[in-house]
Amino acid sequence: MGGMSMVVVAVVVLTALIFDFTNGFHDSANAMATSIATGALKPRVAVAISAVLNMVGAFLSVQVARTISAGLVNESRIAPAIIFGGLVGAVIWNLLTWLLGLPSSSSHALFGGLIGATWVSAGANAVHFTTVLDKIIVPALASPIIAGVIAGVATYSAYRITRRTDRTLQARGYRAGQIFSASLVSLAHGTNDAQKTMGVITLTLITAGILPAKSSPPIWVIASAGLAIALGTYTGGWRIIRTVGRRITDVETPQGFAAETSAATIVLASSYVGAPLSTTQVCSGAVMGAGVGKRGGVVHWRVVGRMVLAWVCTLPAAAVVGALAGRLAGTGTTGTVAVAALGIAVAGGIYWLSRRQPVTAANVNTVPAPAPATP
Amino acid sequence: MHIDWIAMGQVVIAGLVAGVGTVVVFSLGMAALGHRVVDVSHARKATAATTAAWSCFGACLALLAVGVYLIIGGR
Repeated sequence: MGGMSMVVVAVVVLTALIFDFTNGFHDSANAMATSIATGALKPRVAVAISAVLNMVGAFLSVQVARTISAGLVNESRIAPAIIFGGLVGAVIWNLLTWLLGLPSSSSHALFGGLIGATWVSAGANAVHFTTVLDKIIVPALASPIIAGVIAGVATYSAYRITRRTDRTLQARGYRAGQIFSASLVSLAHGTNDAQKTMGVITLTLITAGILPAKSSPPIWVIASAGLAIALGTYTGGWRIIRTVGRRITDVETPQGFAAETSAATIVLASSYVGAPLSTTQVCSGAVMGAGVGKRGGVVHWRVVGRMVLAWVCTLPAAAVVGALAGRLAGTGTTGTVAVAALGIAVAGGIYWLSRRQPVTAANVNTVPAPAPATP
Repeated sequence: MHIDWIAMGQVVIAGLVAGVGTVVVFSLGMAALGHRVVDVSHARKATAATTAAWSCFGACLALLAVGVYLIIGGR
């Protein structure tokens, strides 16, 4: 990587942890949105449980971390500055979609940012496009559909089997079940998503020559990545939780239980196979499936449409920001500082905009005005 | 392009067997619990319903344990 200072490496590692934090608050909706919406867990309790389990999950598996750092881009061709640019692209896209309350995939934002920065700085042939297609895009297209169908079947079965059961008992029983199913999603999320940051930090250390090629993440990397995602999760991305829990469909406890159980199983199975899938798309797909699977259930397809649009845009949008940031950061230390300053300015601006209509633990379950007629 | 259909198929089968399976077993437990409430309110013996309900919930806990085991010991 030639002449990169330890300072630049430190800046990249710090940015990776910031990305991990945004990943956490972006994705707390995945595990907890339906539990919060049905009242199975109080908002603050839900995010606290999710944070702890994400932390635990981070320590349990490093399989995806290896997949990302060893196959996506040509490690011998990229410098820490490129990774930095990619991370900035991912963080900015994550913040923008959070502002809009859209549950987009943090994985895709990260991959997009890295791909864009690598492409511009090291050439298109430093990006392994076939790996990107096989290991990321195809699983990502398939996972929400698979999750939707399975959650739909599960929801239908749940209502069918308990159709003569007392409604109050039914609601209470599935509410209790949701505590377990949501917890399992959180644990599975930790095993998947904290690993992405570990993968990126490990990749940075490898390109800087600090670690030998194809190394596993060192323990301090695992610990700091787990802590960052846990803190982000506890902060709670209430805007996205409200969308997933209240705006896709009116979630009842049997639906919440069916969606979470289906999502947990799919995330675990995919993690076991070693595919870095999008937890977000699995979970959102499962909530949609739960809406379809209930007789007379209403899915707000306009909200789903906006979500799918955000999913399609995530990889290319993050790639463009990543490419610009990577290009500028690649010019040297001044460029890197400029990118950091711009990134902080944009993040501050997005935060300022979010304060105009804040969504917190207190108002997460109230959807104020009916959705406007025009998008 | 090489799509790993086997991996994809494994995920679908796992989802249908373990995912839907868990929800079905839990729901059977809920239905049994409903029967138990009815039995008790009619002053009938509810042993069968109670046993069925808790067997189902026990099976769900076992499935949960399998999930956690897959995360911890699976690799």
